[in-house]
Amino acid sequence: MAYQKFQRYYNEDEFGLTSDVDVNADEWKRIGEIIVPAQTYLTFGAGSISNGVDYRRTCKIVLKDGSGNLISGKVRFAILNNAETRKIVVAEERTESLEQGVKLGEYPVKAQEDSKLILEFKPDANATISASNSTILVPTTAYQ
Amino acid sequence: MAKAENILKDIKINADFWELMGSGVLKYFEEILLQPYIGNGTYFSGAIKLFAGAMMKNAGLGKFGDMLSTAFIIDGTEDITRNLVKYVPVSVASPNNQQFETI
Repeated sequence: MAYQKFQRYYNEDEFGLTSDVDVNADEWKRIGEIIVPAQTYLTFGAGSISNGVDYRRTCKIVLKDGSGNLISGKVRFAILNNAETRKIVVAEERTESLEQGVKLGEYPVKAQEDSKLILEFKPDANATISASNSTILVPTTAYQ
Repeated sequence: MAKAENILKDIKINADFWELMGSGVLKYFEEILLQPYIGNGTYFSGAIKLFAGAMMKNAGLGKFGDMLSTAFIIDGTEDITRNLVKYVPVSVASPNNQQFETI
């Protein structure tokens, strides 16, 4: 089976962060979700380090409240099967790093059709994520 | 005795082989040591390595200098070639046939 491989970015709208979300301290909350389209394998990250050259793409997530302040906390990138009985946490990063941009290489396990790529967020303190003030740019690799 | 002479003759004939092997070892180490300073696999690092290699070749540093020079020239050429090859659509010519784990 031959696949056509390509890299693409998903933004906050595509992850479904279209309205404000309340998040509580020390509680993981799903803030974004992508259901893998038909005839596609999808995974977080794009590129790799090859022969000493860094081809990984940069992931940027800036979560801000209504006043435009950065909400501190942790973001998890996870892959789930459709029934959510299996879960792989691909990476966990702090929002301070993600604001600057974090290199996210292609993860070896791919989500198949109808499986999910999700973003979870655990803030340091209670807050409300403003959808209009926040930016999500997550590199992914698709095989079709 | 004649056998020993033949062996010595062989070593002499293969002198370039050992010199190139030395270059290979030096290339491995110079690539790692220089990576934090000039990077690796870029036009910039390639140009610096080629320039350094060319300078060393003419500096009269003896056999070690020659080996180091060869190491720099090969590594510099590799860096530049790697960037040129990026524009060849290899992935289109050879579709990805890998199998991967899925969830």
